[in-house]
Amino acid sequence: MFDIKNIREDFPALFELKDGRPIIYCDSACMSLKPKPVIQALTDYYTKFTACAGRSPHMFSRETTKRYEAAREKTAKFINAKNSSEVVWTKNTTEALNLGSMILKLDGTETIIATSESHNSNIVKWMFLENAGKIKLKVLDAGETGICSLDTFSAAIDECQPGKFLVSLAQVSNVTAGMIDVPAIAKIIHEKEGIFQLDAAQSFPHLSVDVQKLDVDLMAVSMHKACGPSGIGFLWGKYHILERLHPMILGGETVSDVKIPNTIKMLPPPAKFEAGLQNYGGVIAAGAAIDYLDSIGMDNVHQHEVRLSKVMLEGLEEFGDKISYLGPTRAEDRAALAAIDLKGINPHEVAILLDDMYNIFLRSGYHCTHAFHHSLDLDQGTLRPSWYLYNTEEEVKVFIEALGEIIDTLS
Amino acid sequence: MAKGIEKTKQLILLLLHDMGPSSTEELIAEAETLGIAECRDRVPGAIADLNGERMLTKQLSKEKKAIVWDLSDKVDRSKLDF
Ligand SMILES: Cc1ncc(COP(=O)(O)O)c(C=O)c1O
Repeated sequence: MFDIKNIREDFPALFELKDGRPIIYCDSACMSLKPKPVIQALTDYYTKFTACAGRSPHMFSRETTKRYEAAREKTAKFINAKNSSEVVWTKNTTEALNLGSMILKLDGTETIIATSESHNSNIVKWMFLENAGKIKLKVLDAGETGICSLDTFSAAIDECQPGKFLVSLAQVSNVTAGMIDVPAIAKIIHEKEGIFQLDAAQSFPHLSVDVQKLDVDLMAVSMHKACGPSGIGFLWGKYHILERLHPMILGGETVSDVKIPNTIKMLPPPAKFEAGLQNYGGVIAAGAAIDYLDSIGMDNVHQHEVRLSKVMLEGLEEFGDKISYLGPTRAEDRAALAAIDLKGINPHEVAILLDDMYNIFLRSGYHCTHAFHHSLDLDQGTLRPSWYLYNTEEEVKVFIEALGEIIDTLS
Repeated sequence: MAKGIEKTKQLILLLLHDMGPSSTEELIAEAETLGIAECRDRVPGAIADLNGERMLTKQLSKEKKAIVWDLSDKVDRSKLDF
């Protein structure tokens, strides 16, 4: 059963006071709060068995190795990967997407397809490579809904050479909150032997993600948005793709042997991608975050968030044309966040007032989607509340009321 | 992003000293004319910080549909004179 009261008690930060008053945290699309078991796992690593994995024979190192690999196993199971060797630890989604791009030959013949609402971490690299003449980039216009039709994808893919293109898309947008039909797009891509890289930064924390059902080839995740610690994420890839993928960083732990003159024997995935000592505490605590989410059930998390979305959307509708928000209008079709255009009121100032006067913590600006905001003439940026499993309907209502008071005061 | 924040905060104090009470948009526009990189991203964060440190006063203005910021008594204006 989804018991919000119990869940909230797991997150100590929710009970922090500001100026002696409670706070409302609605910036989870940026960084989620951490439940006690995750904090405990991190503390245990640093207090009880701090060591590196896989190298030394002593007890601390054996314990670290055991828990590090257990976290990989749990993660693989959680996303229904065929094998835990398909999970590669990275710093975050950004690093995972950059690692995924190492599948490219960069000989100028390949095409990358992205969409206009892409997060900078899923567009800047492509622009950079295009500027260097190494790829051709097609950015599909996602319009205000943030979602391209299947026909738009088909038409763009039709123009690509078979087997010479990569499509890199977010499953859930961090601004429009819209969700794409991943399996349907995968089918179109695979019919023409392309590679599908999924940015799951905003879907993995909120939805049940099954990589076999989704049928993508690569998937990038940030654990810090999913109750895990900061500085840890992962790239999942189909094993045969990971075998073809070049490592981005080379060094210790990536090779089975090295000889002079120039002879290196690379280890198979995932080891060949995890160079040098790793963020062991982060990985182990990420495993605890997976256990935590699993114990609650991702379907329960999603249903709770749909309820929060409904309350938020109903509240936003009340503002009439004083504001507008991006993305689909049905709570069932979107994530529990909204990028709100305040029609001439600066969103940063509203965010500062929400923090200052109401203890409501959220984000304002471009949310790392500069290109999308510019394409919609939203040059002042937007205000973005983003809710998670620990938020209540009451909190959403308090936010709506506070926003109303601020808008009334300023206009 | 976080690295240059102290510089941006100093810039905002100087701008407010020169321009008098101003909104976030006006401060961003002035920073843009000075060629400051990424000011649309940086200025609001720096204002939030200064506000948190009680270095600014704020007035809500219906006319400007904005907060009008000014230097608070905590700021030593003589250090901003050149
Ligand atoms: C859709 C999307 N993609 C990618 C990222 C980048 O994630 P990170 O900064 O953790 O690498 C984010 C972060 O907000 C995001 O929302």
